[in-house]
Amino acid sequence: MADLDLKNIKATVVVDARGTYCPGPLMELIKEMRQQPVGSIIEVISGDAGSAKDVPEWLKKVNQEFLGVLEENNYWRIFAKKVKDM
Amino acid sequence: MSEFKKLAIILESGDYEKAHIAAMIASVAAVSEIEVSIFITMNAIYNFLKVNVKENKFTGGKIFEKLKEKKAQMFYDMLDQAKMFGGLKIYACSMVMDLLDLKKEDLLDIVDDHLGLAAFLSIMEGAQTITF
Repeated sequence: MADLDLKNIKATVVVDARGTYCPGPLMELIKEMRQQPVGSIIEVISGDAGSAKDVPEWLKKVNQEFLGVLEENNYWRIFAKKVKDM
Repeated sequence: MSEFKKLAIILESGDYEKAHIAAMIASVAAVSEIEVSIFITMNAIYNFLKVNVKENKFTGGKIFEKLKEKKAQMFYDMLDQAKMFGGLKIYACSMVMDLLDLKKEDLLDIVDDHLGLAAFLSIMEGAQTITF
């Protein structure tokens, strides 16, 4: 998804995982994904550069959708969509 | 990349950092549809004693000091969370428990059971194994 589209996305829920270390942001995403219904968009804010690469990898592995990542000043906004129950 | 579905981690060292990396790998594997088993043996058992965790009594190096300073999640909380999200079992070595006269209640509640080696070897069958 293009950056412009990502900026306009209205996430169902936003999780601020700044201050947690790897695999913290991923675990925060999973916590939300388990609670939210299918179709939800979850935005994870991470201060950890590794997570911007780690989260898409995990989403691919468990067949959930990765929408994209926006790099901001010193943090990353990672967007995921829950497409099936988990 | 070859796919593996089972991961066995043997945690032997008493160093905090080794418990921490073992917990990190176990957590990510457990939430990635991999069945994870951890076998705690030798000096690693001390990091799983309620009394030591309560007093925050761990042995570690420079990274342990940093993890404390930055208030990173502790390895036992990571393991607890991973158990809620995925397939993770934690076993203590019966031999070490006998040696130290430990009971199951002395260990953190995240420890599922204690096992002998024959039992853990059968768990390891067909699993990718890592030792710390």
